[in-house]
Amino acid sequence: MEKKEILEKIRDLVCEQLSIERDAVKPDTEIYKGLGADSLDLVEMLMNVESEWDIVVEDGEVGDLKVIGDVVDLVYRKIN
Amino acid sequence: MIYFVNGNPPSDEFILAAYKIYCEDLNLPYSPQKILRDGKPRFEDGVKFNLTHSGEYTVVAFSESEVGIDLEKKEKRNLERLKAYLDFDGDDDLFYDEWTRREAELKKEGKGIESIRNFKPQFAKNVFFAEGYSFAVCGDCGQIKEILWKRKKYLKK
Repeated sequence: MEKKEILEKIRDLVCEQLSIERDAVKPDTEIYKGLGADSLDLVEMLMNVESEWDIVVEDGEVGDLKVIGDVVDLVYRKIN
Repeated sequence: MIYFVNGNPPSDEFILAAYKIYCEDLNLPYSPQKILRDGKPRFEDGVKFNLTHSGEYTVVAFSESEVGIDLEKKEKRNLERLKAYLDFDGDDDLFYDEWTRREAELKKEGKGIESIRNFKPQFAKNVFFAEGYSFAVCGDCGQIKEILWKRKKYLKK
């Protein structure tokens, strides 16, 4: 799966989870400041991502996720 | 001191405006600060701060020593999944209190939620903030005070 497709799917997941517009979710959107997410939102987001692609996000990888693009890159690495 | 605003203003702007009020409230000499971000965000002059945001509120705490705070809105979530993530066996309100205590203490130490799963807080305490929220403080902060966010008023030189 290409990064563009991964981004679209993450958009679906995030928009449904946080009830926000799709336009608000871009690769450079900061997860906390840009989406208005708190830490529980981030963990839930990652759980949704894990379920969607049947992957595991290690604890040590969470701290590196600052923007949506980081999540896209993480998924891309794990599924390819 | 802990200051909060009902809203989601730009975080740096809010921190700097609240800092000015903090200096006024404690009769401390004020000078405009720059936020340093190499490591845990901090001011150049040694005053420590920590920021949290959830739901309708943004909160910042200031202290002479390290401090960590966390606010979480108790909203619709898959709590069973989140409780399993923390290996937590308790009711929903207690889960939120546990989460905020863990995160507040981690933030005081300059760490992030990547460490939250196996972390056992020793010093953080839950403090009432607002109905429908869990709030925790780790460090010596003092009272909680609301700021009415009027950008021009607080940034006027």
